[in-house]
Amino acid sequence: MNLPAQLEAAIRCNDAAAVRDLLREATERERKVCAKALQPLLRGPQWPDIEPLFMVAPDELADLIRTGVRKFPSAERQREHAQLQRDYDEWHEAASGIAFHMAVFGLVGGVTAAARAAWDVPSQSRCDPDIDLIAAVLADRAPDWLADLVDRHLRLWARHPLGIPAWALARKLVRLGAIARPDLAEYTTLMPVGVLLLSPLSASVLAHPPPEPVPSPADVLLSDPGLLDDEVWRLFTVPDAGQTLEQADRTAAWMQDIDHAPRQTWSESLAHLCALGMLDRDRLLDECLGAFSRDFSPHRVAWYARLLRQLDVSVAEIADRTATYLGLLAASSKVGVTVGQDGARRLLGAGLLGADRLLDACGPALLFPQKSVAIAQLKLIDAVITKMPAAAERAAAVAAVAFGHERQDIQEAALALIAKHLRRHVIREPAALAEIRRYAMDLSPSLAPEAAALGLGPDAGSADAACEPADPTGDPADAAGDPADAAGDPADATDGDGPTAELAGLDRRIDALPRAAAADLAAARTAIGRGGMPGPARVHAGAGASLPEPVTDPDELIALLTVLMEDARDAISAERALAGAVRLSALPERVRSQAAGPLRKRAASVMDTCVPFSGQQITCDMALLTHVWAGGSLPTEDRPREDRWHMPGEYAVSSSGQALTMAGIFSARVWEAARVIEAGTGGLLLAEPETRRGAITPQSMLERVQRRARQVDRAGGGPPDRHDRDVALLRLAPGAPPSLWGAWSELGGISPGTLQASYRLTRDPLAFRAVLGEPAGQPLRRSEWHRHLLARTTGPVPEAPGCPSWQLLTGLSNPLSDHAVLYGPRRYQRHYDAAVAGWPLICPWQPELAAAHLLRPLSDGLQAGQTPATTAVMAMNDPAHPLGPVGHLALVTGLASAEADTRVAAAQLWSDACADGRLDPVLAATALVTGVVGQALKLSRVADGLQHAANSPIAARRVVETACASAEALAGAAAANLHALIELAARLGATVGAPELPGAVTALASRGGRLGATAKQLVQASHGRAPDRERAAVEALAALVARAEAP
Amino acid sequence: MAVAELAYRYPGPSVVRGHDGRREVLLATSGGVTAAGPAEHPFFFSGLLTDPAAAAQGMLACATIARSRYFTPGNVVAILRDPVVTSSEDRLRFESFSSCCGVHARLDLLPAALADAPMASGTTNVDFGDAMRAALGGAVLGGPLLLSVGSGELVVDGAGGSVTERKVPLPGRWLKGFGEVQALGAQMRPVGKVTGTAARRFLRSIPRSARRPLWAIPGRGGFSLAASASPGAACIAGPHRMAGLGPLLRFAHGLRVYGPDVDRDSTEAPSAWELDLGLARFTLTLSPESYRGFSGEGALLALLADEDAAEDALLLGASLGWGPRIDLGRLAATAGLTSPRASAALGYLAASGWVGYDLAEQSFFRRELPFGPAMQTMHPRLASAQALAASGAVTVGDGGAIVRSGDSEHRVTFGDIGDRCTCPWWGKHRGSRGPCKHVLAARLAAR
Repeated sequence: MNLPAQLEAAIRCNDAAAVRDLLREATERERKVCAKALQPLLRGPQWPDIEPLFMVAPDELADLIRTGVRKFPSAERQREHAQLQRDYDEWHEAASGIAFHMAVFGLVGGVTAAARAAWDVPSQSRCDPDIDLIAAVLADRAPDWLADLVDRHLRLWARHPLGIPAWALARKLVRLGAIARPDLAEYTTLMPVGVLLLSPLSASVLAHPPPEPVPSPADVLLSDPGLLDDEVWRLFTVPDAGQTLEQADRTAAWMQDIDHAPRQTWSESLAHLCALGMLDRDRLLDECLGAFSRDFSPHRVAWYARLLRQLDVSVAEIADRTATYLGLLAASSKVGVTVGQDGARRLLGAGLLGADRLLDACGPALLFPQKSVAIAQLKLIDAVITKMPAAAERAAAVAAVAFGHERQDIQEAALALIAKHLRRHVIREPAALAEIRRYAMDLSPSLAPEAAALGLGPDAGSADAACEPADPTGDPADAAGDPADAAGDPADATDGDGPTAELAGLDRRIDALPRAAAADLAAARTAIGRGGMPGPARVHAGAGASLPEPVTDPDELIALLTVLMEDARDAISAERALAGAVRLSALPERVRSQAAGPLRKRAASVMDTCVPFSGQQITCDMALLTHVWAGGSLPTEDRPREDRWHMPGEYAVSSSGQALTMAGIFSARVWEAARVIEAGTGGLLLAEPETRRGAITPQSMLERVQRRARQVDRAGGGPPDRHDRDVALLRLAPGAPPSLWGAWSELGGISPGTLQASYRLTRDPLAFRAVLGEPAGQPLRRSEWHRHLLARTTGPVPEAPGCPSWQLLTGLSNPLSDHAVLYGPRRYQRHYDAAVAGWPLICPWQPELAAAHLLRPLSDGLQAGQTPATTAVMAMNDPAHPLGPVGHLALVTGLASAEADTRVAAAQLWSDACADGRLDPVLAATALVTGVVGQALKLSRVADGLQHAANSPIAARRVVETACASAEALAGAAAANLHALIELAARLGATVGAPELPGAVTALASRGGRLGATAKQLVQASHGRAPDRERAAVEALAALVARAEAP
Repeated sequence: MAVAELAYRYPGPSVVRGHDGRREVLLATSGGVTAAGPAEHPFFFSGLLTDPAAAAQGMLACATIARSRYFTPGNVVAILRDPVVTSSEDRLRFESFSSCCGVHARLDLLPAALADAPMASGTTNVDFGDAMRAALGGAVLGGPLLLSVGSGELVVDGAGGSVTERKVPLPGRWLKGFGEVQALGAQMRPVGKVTGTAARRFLRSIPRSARRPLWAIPGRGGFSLAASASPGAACIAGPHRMAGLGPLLRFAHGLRVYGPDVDRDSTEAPSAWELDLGLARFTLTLSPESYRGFSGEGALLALLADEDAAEDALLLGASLGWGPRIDLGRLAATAGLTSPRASAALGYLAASGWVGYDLAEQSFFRRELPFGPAMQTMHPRLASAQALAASGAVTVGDGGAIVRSGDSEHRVTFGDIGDRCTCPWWGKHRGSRGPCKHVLAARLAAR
């Protein structure tokens, strides 16, 4: 019998020994011949292309149902299938044996195929004896690609642990001498788990249930001592090995309840081997400590600290490594620094560490971001002072380094430490005090009074010391002239005009105002003179900044549509393009087709991404608008959108083009516009905005109505489309002349009285109340709803008969129940920003109503994830958009967002609103209390957001006022993290001053704990010098004057 | 995109050894050029570092950036590419570029950081393997440090020697980005600066998880964050990419921020963050978005398409010298070019990897990326534009052109502020990533 036949026979009877013997001496040429001969066996039976078992004509279907399918398929086809199945079963039996896989590795024609074969080894062949056999065949063969195969499989296994266990195979080949130890990191990172599959103990791991006891890593390492020479030490030098060891130990700990858990974890095993003398203890200690100084991820080195604990390092061993331990105080990981601190503490306790040596190394740990590390270092310094009073002055100066820490509580702790020893009069040396004073320049302003009381405040001498010394190195950057300075670095800018000069300028502007306005401001001005702070401005909704001229140039329209089909977040551009497309639809179709020709293909592509005119995706609406403008026809909507197959709110526009919710108003308008364009008669939109807030002046509206009437006379046409008329009415600025209603009604469809009444009704202020809770219906993004903060209308909302969209806008009587419908399209759009950006433009004269709608995306943003919350916040950032109670609710909800960029956007709104007088700290405090007490907002997030907001004196002052105004209610409700808000207020208040503090704050100041300490700082800040108080007042007055000067 | 391959061929791995009772870090070098011409294993420097902890941490930070990728699309593989060292007469500069092509880092060891001046000038790759990084980690924790970039010792180089070879792919976008980031630097201006303490506080206050670009706005109390741009602000796109600055903050004496001119409508922009480490500077340059590499910026494509700039660059290339900074005026006078033309030519050279840009000194310096022929990789957008122009697909008309590309036709409109196109790519980026291939083709055809 020749080799292929013998091999096939051995494979079919799963004779592994025979397969190995047959292949042991085979040359590569013989293997190639054999592989070709055994190809059918190695590849397995090939299934024919799938064919339908039976086919019937439609008129035969009834017969088929009646007779059943038993007649099908034919007996011949059934026999064919049965034979195929038998062939497959026979092959599968052979292929399941280890002999088959040995043969595959002995015959396979290259590294790529071998890697695939390694991936294909079934799970039952993952036990140690089988890996041994495969490794033996490969070692016998010793192809030149063997090392490459092992590397590839190790890399693959690290990502997808399928096929033959990679580490076990690699280790066996190393032991057989077939390959050198792989240099790959995976060879080390896979080891902690891989060793458990090593012989002869792996059988116990894989047995179900495994016999007692399951081998520990120590057992395995002792059974393969070669690992102790090299591989074990790699665990300390390969990045991420610490993480895999940690995972392996955690799994072992987790299995403690299970009887067959390994006796020892990895850390216990290595400590055990060390105790047995199998591992060099000194080397183990050095390698373990060295792991902290490597550039490993700081989050993946905890295991090394665990091993050190297991090794129970003695003081003598630490003393031998004093420099290493002290060096760890500068490590990048918290764990590493903690190990260094423990070592230093023990050395200090044993009197084996000099103060100077420790103090030299303290700096990095004092500035470490985590609080626990910096505090522990301060305690070490405290211990040094207590133990070695002679070093007290230097130690105090070193502790003062922590004044530069970004956390105020660390600064406080450092100050407390220095204060303690100052009171004991152990720090008297002028040089040390000067050093401490120099660092005290970095202290938070709220700690400055305490520092000053200790004699650590800035003085003439320390001012010089605080200046950075000239660069002794002669930095060429300085020699060449610092470009930042040359550019007039704003950070370095000094105040050319102080607050007093600015106040004089404001006085002159006030004098120039009309008498009534000047009288109001004079009161505010007088208040400033008495140390008071002007309040917010009385802000009414305004039109906002004017927009550029309407789009009348086809090129400009094409440029806008090109952009809007890709990104429609600029709601004003979308409005301009919409109006421009309608206006320019009067151009001959040939001209339009030629101009928009380059966009047609892209428009067709974008149109297919979503259902157009559904309120879901504005880019899609823009694409269809482009398509129609370019001469394409409007697709017919033949699928009803309101049937039971659709989720409530899935479509914000009905199949007849009527907006179902406010979220569909813009899409419905685009649909209307597309119909006008398709008609090809030209036209104009009554609702085209004139300002950035979407407003339209009455004069412009009158002109539009008259022009529209002329167009109808000339080219025919019906009354204005409904949504266009509604939005035009909502956008119309106050002061519409009576003549407008008559002219408008002549366009048809509505009486002048109805129009006028609707106009009047839609200007009436609405009342809202905050609503807290989980919305009804299926959750939007996760398995459960999170708490929302929304606003509902209170009392009856008057109907505007001439403006059905008003009903959609004011349909907020039960926003929690209706949330699924009102916010429905968001469920289908991850990027819903473009739609949200346009909401405030619908009703520029009802900013509170707009804010009530924006609360939906903002509440969406209270849970982490991609949401339109940032867009919602930014949509309110216009000086002409007043912030009422609901606006402040929206602002505070943005400040409490789970996403940092939303918090920063809200902080920017806060800052800008303070600068233009819109922000009312009382309303902000009310909103804050509502959201926090209602458990929808987290105070820690709000404090973080406000920290970014306080970038000007007036913004900082409003933060302090808001914190003070809300403190009583928040303290009464025992709000979590109130100390964060009070701490921020204290820090800012030390600079910009604080209002008269409520009793709650002074009561808190008498309490202990962090909250009491921060309240005490706030009390101190309220009595402090507050160097920026006057500037804040000037900024507040400037906002009032600017408002009064505005037309 | 073409992927070239670079073979690092070191005489041996970088090592740490005892030297007269001090630790010596011997960085092995591979390839590159010196003032004397191409060299296999250049030897630039051997001497003590006057502030070893900060220098070692800076080198480690460079190595970290080289090993990082901050955005992980399927086609970006994290491949360790070694840092590049440039010796410029009196200083050493270590540079690295992230695998995602969006973060560039450079550590400048200024003259005072080196106890002795470099012995030679040039650029080379240095081996930063695991052992080297571990040794540098130890150096960060303290002690004097002797640094050698290359070695004057006899190197056994051959089959029987201890040559360390490693091949890494060099994707075209990575190469282009490495060059273009320098040219973008030349378009940045100082935004503001703060002290070391303020820098630490500000950088640690930046939320790492922000999904949209944030903006750092200089003010009286330092920088503050905003969600939208304003004139004079610097963009922070993908704040998690600034993590590389973290370990250096304790050494920081100050922070300078640079960025291009922006206005209220700007949505994103590149930015550079320079930590003043006393005797050294560490500069981290971020691309405008974490998912965008510098190579996609295309801001230089118009320049690269300019044949005059190419010719001028050839002229200037011969007389750059290896000084710490290139004197533009002197260079222009030497070459007989006007200052704007010399400036454009230097931009061309920067995009081609021939010069780097030092933001602190607002000047170029010579640095030839040691990647050999791979640097000749063509810019695909420019190549496509040239192909379109050459194939007659461009019909130039009044104020614009029609460009036929495949079965689509795009209209290009020339404008004073910027050219426009009707292609989806332009619609998406609106010129923020440079001209599209149709605009480039139209400009080429119109020339």
